[in-house]
Amino acid sequence: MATDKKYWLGLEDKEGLVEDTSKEFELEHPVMSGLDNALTKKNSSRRDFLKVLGFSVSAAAIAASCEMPVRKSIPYTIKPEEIIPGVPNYYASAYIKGGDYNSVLVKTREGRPILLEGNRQSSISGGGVNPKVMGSLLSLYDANRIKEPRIAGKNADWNTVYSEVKSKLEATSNKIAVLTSTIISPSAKRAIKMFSEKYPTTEHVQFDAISYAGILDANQESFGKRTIPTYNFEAADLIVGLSADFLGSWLNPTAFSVAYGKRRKVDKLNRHIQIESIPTLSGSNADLRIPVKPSEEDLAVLRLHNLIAKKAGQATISDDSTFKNEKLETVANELWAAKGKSLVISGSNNKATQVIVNTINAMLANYGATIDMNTACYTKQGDDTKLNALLADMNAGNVGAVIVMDTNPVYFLADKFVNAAKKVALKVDLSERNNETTPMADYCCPNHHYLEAWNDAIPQDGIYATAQPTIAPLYNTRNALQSLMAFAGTEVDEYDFVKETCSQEIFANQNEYGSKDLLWTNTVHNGEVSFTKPEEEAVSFAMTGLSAASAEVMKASKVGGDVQVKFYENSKIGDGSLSDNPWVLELADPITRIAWDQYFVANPTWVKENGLIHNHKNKDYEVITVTIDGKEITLPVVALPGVPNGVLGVCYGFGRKNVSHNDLGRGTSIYPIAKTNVSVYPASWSHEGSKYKVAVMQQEHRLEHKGLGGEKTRLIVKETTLDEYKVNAAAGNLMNEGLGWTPRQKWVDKHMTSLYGEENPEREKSQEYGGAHLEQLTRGHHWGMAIDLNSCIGCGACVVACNVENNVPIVGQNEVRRAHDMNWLRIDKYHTGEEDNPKVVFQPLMCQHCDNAPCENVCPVAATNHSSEGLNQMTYNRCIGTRYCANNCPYKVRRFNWFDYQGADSWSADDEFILPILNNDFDGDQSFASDEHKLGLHDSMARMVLNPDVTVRGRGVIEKCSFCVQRIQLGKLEAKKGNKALADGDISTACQSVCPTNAISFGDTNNDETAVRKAWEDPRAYGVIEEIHTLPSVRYLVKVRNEKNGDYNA
Amino acid sequence: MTLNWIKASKQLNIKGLILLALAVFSFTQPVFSQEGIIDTALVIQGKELFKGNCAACHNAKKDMTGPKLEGVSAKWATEVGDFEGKSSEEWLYDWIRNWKTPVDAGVPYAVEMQNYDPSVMQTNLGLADEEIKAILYYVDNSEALNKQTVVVDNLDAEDPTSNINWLLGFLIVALLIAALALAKITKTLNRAAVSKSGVAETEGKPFFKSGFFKTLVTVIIAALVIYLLASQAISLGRQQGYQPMQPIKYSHALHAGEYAIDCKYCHTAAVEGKHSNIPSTNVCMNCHKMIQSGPKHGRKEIAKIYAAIGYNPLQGTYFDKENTSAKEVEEVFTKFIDQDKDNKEIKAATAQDYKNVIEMYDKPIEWVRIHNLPDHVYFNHAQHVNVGKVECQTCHGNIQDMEVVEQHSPLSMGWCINCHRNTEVDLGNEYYKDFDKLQKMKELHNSVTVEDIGGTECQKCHY
Repeated sequence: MATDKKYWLGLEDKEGLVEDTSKEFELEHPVMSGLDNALTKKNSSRRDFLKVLGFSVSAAAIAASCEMPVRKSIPYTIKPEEIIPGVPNYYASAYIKGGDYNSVLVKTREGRPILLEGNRQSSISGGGVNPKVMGSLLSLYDANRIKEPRIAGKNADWNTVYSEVKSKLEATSNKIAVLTSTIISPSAKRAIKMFSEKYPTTEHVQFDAISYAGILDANQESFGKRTIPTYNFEAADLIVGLSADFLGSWLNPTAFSVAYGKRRKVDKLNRHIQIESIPTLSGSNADLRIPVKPSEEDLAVLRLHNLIAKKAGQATISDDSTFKNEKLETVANELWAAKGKSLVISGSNNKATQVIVNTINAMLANYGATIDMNTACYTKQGDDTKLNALLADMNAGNVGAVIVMDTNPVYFLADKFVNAAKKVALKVDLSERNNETTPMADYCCPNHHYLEAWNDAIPQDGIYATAQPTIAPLYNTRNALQSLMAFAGTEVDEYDFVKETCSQEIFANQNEYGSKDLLWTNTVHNGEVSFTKPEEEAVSFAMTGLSAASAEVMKASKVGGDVQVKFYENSKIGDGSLSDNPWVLELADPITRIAWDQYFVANPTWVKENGLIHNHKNKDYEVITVTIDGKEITLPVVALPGVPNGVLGVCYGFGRKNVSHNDLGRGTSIYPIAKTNVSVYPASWSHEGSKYKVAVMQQEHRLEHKGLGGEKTRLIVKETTLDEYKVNAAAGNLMNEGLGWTPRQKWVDKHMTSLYGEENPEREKSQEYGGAHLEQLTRGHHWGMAIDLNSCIGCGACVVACNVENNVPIVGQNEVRRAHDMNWLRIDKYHTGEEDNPKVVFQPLMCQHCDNAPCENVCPVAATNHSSEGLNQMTYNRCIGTRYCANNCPYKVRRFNWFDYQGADSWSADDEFILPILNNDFDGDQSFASDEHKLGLHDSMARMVLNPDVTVRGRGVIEKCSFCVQRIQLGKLEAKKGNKALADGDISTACQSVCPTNAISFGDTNNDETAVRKAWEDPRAYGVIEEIHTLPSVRYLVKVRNEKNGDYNA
Repeated sequence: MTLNWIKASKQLNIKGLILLALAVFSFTQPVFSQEGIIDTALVIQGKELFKGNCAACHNAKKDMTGPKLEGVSAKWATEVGDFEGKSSEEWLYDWIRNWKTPVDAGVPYAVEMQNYDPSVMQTNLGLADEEIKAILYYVDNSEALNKQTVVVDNLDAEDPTSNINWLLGFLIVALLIAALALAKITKTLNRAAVSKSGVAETEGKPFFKSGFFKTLVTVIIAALVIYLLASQAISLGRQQGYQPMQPIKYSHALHAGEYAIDCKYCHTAAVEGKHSNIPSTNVCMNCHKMIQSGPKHGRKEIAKIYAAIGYNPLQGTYFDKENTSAKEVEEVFTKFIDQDKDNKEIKAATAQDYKNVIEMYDKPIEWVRIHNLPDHVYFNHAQHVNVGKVECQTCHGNIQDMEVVEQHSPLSMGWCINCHRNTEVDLGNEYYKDFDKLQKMKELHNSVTVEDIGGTECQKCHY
């Protein structure tokens, strides 16, 4: 029974170290404390009093005597037809960068992109938006963009740059290298091809920062075709992931999340087993997570192969008998039972491992069922062999020119590239922003940001996508295609060029549209079009190289050292190409709930044994130095439940250089140490006793488990197993009553009856409007939300989308550490079970819009109150900042603006004199450092991303989730304008509009037809801590795990 | 009259007081300056017809595209007289319907007038004799009607409370003076009585030194200061009556008033979304490509539109901006504005006027925003104009009479809320069909206001 379970937010919580929530606001209000001191200090005198008095009076006088500024209203000279001031336009476009593909709808206001939403017409990314991709919107307005073409670091004009590059290219007789990330754009490929025709010595080399060459090469060996197949997660009844975080970082996480989400609805729940070392999003969502050491990840593949081979009657291969794990036998049994409906994937970049994985899938008859080898996925095509050959050529002085496009080789390849590039005469960079590579380029030809450019993509066979510009180029930049063509001596227009590609390569292969223009217009409008790829010979699996592979796997798995260090990609930072983005950095990592910082994750017992326990009160974490191959990494160590003992994990993507703000370049890059096909490294470590304050949010804003009955008598998250659910749809939906657990429905029937009892006909008559007490609640709209805990994978896309839609400020590392983060929506991560392998529940939590809200009663100025539509309204201009409401909120979802994070106050952001005064408290140690504010949206360019329909909150007010009231109002207005009733789906919240798994439904709960009403009536629905009678308007659906008996027995 | 006054004051009849105030007011200003009795109905009919058929080119009082029309009947009577058996009136009617008829017939004055610059008159074949009569009657009596409406407007605009306040204030002051005088007299008499009776005079404290008086004065002063401070603080940032100079002397009175152009012809976005936009310059060009001169400022203001959008009015083409020098632009606009030089009606352009026009070349027009709401207020025009069917004038005042636009309403929260409390909602919109409670309320009270649908809740405007 769920009732025996103890849920804990983190280790501190588990061990009962965290104090209760009464000390929520430990900090005095900075200004108040200052004034307080000035007024009540023992030595405060009449002079102090006069000073304070004089300041306030003169400040008030100055403020009052200010003349109203003259505001201009400047209309267009010639108004574009599609723009109506104040009305947003949506354009289908796509994020196509570094091989990543995400189809999006771009919301623009007066020609400025201000939000990305999922494009539900996309057959790949569905309605999902990756948190990183959402962050990329801010990069458009980034101060670090290259604004002019440059020659040797000095601004130049395009003609000079083009003619100089062209003459130098023509002069070289050596090889010309075009170094790119994976290119999925057929237009870019065509441009590179035309470039190669002009310069026959050209070689195009693609490489991925995190290499997928292992799979590609393995498929070359098994199928004779060097491609990645398409995986159909929707068709798989059983998914076995072997250290492949397909929900967070592996291959196409957004597309996979969309497909996976469709099978996490309780009516067609699949089973998911994850075998991994460092806990990932996928592992946290798995029905069964089997922890292994990093060195054993590939051995597990080997073992699984042999277990299945035995059942399939195939030959086994040599195996490491010292590796023991009984769970794998169950996995093999289950896989065999789900033959043809299962999917085995591995995140290893070792070709040998992938060959074995191919064999497993072949034995399970998954090819053609859940894996389509004939429909290739193109998002990763990097070839490490070619890259190494190129670097060798460069070192040998055989390369005359390197053109870098859509990648950052100095960061990803580090010294390997830096040293080789010194021997190359001409280096041209086509980046859009300053990065590690730009300073060493002789010529910088800044590319458009992807929201300013025409582009296209074939992310997989049969899907052609276009990306259209949604804003005119902000700076003097040109599409990389144009630059490349200009080097080859042809001036092209980006629009014509991409359109021509569409006509040339797609038109003949489809029969949906009769003319080229029709095809183009519809593709641009919808974002994607499907086509039939030219017939190819179907490939078949050939079992080769197995014994060599097993030998190699076993060899690679011998890892010595004090500790094993695993390099991994975390879901929000990825390879690091967007890790200088404040929105991405401020998002708490879903697994560790740490924002901004890089760290080692380690086993909690190991941490304890080695005396590295952090101080949970001031968040001082012990810093350790890990030495791998003589190279050192010094980072704080964080105990993370689920990491095997003797293992440290550290993620890629930090330690960026040449970024616009110091805080954006935190941590250490591990690329200089990383080897492409190795992910486990033997290491030694040392501890010198230094400490580092980590911006961890796990213990902040916690809900009280403690009910009237004592310890942990409230179920904040509820779960059950599929078997129990099948017997009783309300299984697990329990509530505590008198120290016993009763089904929620019983509790509701007993406690939620009407004050007036049965409907009384006499009373009915006396009512003026014919309604009983409850009538009030059943007429008109009542907004509500339902969140399916089963579907939520905790990715954090909703959190970033909420921040973007609602102008939620960026506060920076130091503020997050002090629990001053401003997120209106957070995703709590609850653990239950063993410390070494806990089960995880993600719970998105925002304002619950309680119909009996505790916050509303305590506000002395009625700044927060209830609307007739069930919204808990927060009125910023009325708030005086007492924070009583936040104190009284049992869900801890109200946020206080401790400082002027967004420059909302009347003072100019550039005012070097005023800002430090405003943002420093009188004691000095609790300040909001004067350069930290520059991280936020103070820059006039960055402020273009602000949503003009939402107030930018000033210092000293409380704010919180409004259920996207601006979208509700807009939806209602559109319905009224159209003279029609409001339909389900007319209004969506920002979090809902980007969720890849459709976990969130929102709408009118008074309308029987809406999805949210249906979800509310589901027996699984419950309100968080509704036993205190808050009547929340957000209901959660009990998580149902497809867990089998014995899954979590030791 | 006197009787009335007594009666009114005795009963403290507010209506009577107002009537009295108005009567005094109306006697001090002559209403009708014209002789004879005016047929108002005919004038109004004529005005409507004039607006619909003539106002695009003509004005009663001044020359525009067409000549001024006041006295036109008299002029034709003297110039034409009876010609070939038809009266001057008949010839004028013919001219108005189709100017070619009298010209072809050889009426000398008509032949002369056909060459009137700058353009050829349109035909109005559909006008009946009665209608033309009404138009001509209006043209000759246009002012009378204006004066009358002014008075009517004044009646409407009169704020009854202010009159009462004045009268009450006067009464209070008079009574106070009387009371003080009486007190003084009493005191003097008392003193006299006392001194007569021979009792030794005790020097009393003067009344202004008494504790009661001091307290009273302090309280009054404090109350005044607080009241003033509070009212000033509340109105901080409000700009009722704000009437800034605009870069172009654009007249709503002319466009929206005289020519009765619909507000939404230019402010299109008011129907669609949040903002009521200032029209883009290309919208101005829809009309002003043809209309190159205004009645009051001639060409120098319209030239600014041409400059902003880059239109060469002399050639009727747009400038090739890349190949046109600043000097050429300057020459074109100088020449264009100089066309007004011979027109005595229009004030001659100053050097600054030329400069202003040329400075605006190829730049968007920077209008001064009049209606500014604080950033924490969300206001949506479509909600009010499109859904609520609120007239623009309800909030913006009689824009059609404003030569220079000013902020009519205080745009304060109290003002918003008051309107929300009183304005009825049209429940006929399909959107409300499932709102049983509201529909029932409508049946019972025959009134559902914006407040009843939640229009006074915080988050309807603040988010």
